[in-house]
Amino acid sequence: MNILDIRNLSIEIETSNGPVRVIDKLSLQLAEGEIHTLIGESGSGKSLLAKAILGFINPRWKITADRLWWRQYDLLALSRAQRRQITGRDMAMIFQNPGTYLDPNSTVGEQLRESIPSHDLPGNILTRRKQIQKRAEELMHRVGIKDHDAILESYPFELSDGVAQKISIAMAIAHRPKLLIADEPTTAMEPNMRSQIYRLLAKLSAGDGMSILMITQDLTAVIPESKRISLVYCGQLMETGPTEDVMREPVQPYTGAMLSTSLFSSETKPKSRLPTLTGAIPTLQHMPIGCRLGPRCPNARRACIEQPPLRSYKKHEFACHYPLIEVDSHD
Amino acid sequence: MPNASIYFQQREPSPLRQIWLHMNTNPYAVAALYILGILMVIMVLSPLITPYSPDQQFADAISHPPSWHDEGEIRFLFGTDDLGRDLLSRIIAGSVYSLGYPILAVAIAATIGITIGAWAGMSSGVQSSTLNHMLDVILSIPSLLLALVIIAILGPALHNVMIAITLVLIPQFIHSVHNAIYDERYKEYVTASRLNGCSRWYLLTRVIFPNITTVVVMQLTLALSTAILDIAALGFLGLGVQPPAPEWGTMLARSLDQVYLSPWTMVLPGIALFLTILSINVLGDSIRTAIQERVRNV
Amino acid sequence: MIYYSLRRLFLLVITLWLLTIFIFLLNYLFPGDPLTNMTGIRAGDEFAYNIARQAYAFDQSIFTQYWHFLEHLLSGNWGQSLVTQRPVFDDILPLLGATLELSILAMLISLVFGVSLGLYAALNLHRPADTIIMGISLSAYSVPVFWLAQLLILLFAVKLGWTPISSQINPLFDIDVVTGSILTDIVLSDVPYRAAAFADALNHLWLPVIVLAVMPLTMLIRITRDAMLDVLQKNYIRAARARGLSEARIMLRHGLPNAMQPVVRQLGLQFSILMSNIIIAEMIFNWPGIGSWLVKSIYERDYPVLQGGLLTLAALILLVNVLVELFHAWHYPQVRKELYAER
Repeated sequence: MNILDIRNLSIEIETSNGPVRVIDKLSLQLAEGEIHTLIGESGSGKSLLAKAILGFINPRWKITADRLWWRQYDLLALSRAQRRQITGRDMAMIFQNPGTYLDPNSTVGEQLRESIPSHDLPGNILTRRKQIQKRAEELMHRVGIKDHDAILESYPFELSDGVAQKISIAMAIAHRPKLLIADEPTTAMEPNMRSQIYRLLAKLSAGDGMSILMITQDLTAVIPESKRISLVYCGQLMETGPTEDVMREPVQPYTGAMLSTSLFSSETKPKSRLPTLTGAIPTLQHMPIGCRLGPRCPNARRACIEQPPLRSYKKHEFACHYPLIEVDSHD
Repeated sequence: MPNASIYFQQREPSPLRQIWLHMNTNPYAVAALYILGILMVIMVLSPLITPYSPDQQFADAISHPPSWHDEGEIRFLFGTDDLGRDLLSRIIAGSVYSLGYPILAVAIAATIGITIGAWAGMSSGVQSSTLNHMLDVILSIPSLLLALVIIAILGPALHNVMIAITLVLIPQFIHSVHNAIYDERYKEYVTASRLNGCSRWYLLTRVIFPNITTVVVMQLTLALSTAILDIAALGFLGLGVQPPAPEWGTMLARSLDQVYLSPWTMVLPGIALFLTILSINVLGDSIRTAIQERVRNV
Repeated sequence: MIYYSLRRLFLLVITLWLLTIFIFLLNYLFPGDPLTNMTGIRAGDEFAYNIARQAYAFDQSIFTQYWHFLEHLLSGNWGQSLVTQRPVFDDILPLLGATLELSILAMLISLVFGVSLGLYAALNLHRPADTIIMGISLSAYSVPVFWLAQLLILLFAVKLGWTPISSQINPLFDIDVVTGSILTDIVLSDVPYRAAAFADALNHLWLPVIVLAVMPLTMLIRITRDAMLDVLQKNYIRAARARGLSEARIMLRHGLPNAMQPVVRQLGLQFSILMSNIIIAEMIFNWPGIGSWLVKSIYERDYPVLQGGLLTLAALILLVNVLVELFHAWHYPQVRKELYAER
């Protein structure tokens, strides 16, 4: 059962050179309790996708989709207020620089407590306060912070990045969301803290049946618990499917390149040059037409100026005219 | 599509030029620039274009209203004051005192202040934060108060006003330039140039200075409006430029007793002063927003 | 934090000490006899002059002279006026009261209206309300205070005849000067016509207060608007929205407190600007405050009075600035981080 169902989502923004589609016919499905990793380099529109799901898109930008459903709600048909209600109740997000997402002028405790919904707690205001405090401490334990008294009383600037991220997670799960979007939650962290955060997220997902949309830059950050991955390049979906299948048998040239650039890939032989894509990511003003990977793709031919449709191979789906593996086009 | 040139190089304009481009999109800033330009031209040409001598008294036309008034005469476009002097001529001639001298004072103060500020910013001996805080505190004393004290020592006269205003403005320049350089000098790009073996002079003039020009330009507009206001205020208090010189502040002080009889002697010089300060402030303000915009875009 | 506060207060003391040195040196810089400039005793009065010479140690080195000057200054002996022969220190207190009354009222008005208008403009960004508020504030900011005062006098006093244009109160009301602040004095006095006197004083008061409030008001509008716009872009506001907090709560708990921080930091500067304007406004409205007293002393070359006025005004401004800074540091925790980092 998919709780999030996105089909052919496009977002167009106005630039000085006319409109640009930053997200181009992107599709994504997320099942309940599943961890899905979205991989894309900078500028691929992955953070924008997260904002589109939450409904924080600049109202002047044009957003179209065949389908943007959250459970049974069509998100595009809802009013702003209804949309916010759903976002506030069911979704949560954590970010790359957790420190900047905390108000510098109030304590961690104040911010954590205000994230805890109080209306479903029993009792009057005074007893509620105690319950909220208890719940705050419990949340701190859940994200693995033991000395909650000291941390709750401190200000965000007194915390390290890792602790700040744990607090962001605590605040995000305070209202028991169904979906957590983690936008590069560990990019600026040391490896030890990184794995702590990932383990924490995986545990929370397994325990609460919470779906997580994990957004990262590269394949090395894909955790074993992530059942599915999607690769996005310049706003276009390249390949999506079960993690193991995609890793073992990449079909799209982009996936292949991404896999071979990871340093510990089994295919790299000693002393051989690391295979990479040539060139650089195009700027917004100069998006190639058709398949946007075209100018950098080793397999690209004339037909690539047409955007390839999404095709399936075994359990994956991919978009390419000339895939790495012979695929029966009518499959 | 093999090896098609997909690279697109975007040239970033220099900071000052970016601000210029940004200002050009702001119609108020452009208007302010034009007004200031016209005022400057009027100021430079003032001996040539005044209809009469600013001190000439017309005994037959005392307190004449401006020409658009029913009793006004086209001979005196802006009317005359209580001594029968042509107001238009006085306002035009006054621009030398109220705009020209402030520009001169700011130019001198800027030269001295920027030099000292740059030296203080580059030398490591003067980095003590205590000194900086002290300067902060001392600079909170308004410039007008300090100028008043200097005038009390030297006595009210035009050249003393100039000395007072210049002296008062210098510390502000030192402070802002020193702070700007101090903020820049430990940034990575400066360190990189230092590792490349650039001399201190080169570092200052070629590496750091282009990055603080905006601060300097903003301080210039700020100082100019302060100087104009202070000179006019001193003139108004009777402690600055001495009558009969047609300084705008002095003219306003004289009109204080005439408000009942001839309000135009108060309104017109005031408008001249207001327009000058307004255009400088609009310029400074648009430079400030342009800087903010630039910082936000980075 | 205690360390920081002590350091700031110590700096204040040092600055005030430098100020006394400056004022001491002024006696030598002013035209005329330094001792007369300092004490207000003319050389003609030989007996008193010789006593003063002894008291100020003018036959000894300049350092001893300064030491004795400082002693007299601290004991409240600020010399006497050359014109009225009255002790300067006794005259200052009521004048200070009058000046403080004006400045505090003007500051309050500009704070209340400046912050609320600034917030209103920020929340209506690029709509007509914002454009109008910002346009007016930029124009009003460029009006020199003396011209503004004249224009308002022309409008309210001459054309409309609503208000008198000079002094604190109609002299027919006989109010004893205690604090110098006219409203306080009326409340403290026990004359039968208190209510009428209070109304009359208010009628005298509102025009100068408005004239003085305009400049800080316009600047506070701009600062508040910029600060609010800046805060609204911050990540923690977005995160608060993503957490589903209500808009009102976001504004009250996170938007406003953070936006007020630059406003608080600027209050000291605003007070300095206000003090600069008050000197001129007091002259125009004939207000018996420190500012007009100071300017008159320059006309009359009354140097002991000039020193007294300068010392009081400068000390007041420095004190307010340091207090604002301390409040800022105490109230906003993340300022402390920068302060700690500084060491």
